[in-house]
Amino acid sequence: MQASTAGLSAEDERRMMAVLQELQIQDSMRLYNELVYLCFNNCVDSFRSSKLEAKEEACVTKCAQKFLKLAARAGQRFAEQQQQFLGGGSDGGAGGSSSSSSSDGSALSR
Amino acid sequence: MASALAAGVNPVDLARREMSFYADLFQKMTDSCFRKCVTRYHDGELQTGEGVCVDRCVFKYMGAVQRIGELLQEGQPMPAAGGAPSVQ
Repeated sequence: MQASTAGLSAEDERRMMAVLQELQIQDSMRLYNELVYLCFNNCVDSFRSSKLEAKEEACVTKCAQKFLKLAARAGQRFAEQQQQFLGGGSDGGAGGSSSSSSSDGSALSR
Repeated sequence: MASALAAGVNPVDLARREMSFYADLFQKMTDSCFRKCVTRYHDGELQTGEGVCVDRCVFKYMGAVQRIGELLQEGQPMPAAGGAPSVQ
């Protein structure tokens, strides 16, 4: 989480960015599947047809939108909590850590 | 896909990503459809009604995959787009 690149060689920094990017891609694919699983379970209950009914489709859409908003908000709160936790004693300090932990939230909301 | 290659993404990595995406999808889909379609455990056979339910469940699940994929592509750029060809 505290992706500080200070003190890394250019090669290490490049490798770290590649690892972070790969993790972000994996995370977004997992989120995609998680979202479908969750909203399908919540919204679809009848199997009289093999196509989503209009009502079910609307439910799935709203469910996914809602989940993304919830994730974004939880990410913000999480970033704030981390900031408090890490910046504990010194209020003004830890500028670097705040920017990297807030990127966690945006990764989810993206 | 082309943009991913241009960005220097290893095709093996791409295939690995895609494989793990579909493995995850399949596992979640079977889990959902089993929960929704199988309600009794009288014997080890899949009952006619349960089988029909599973058939429809799979198509409906993929409909939800499609819909949410569209939603994600509208709102936020998905770096995984190359690995999820089910979306258009």
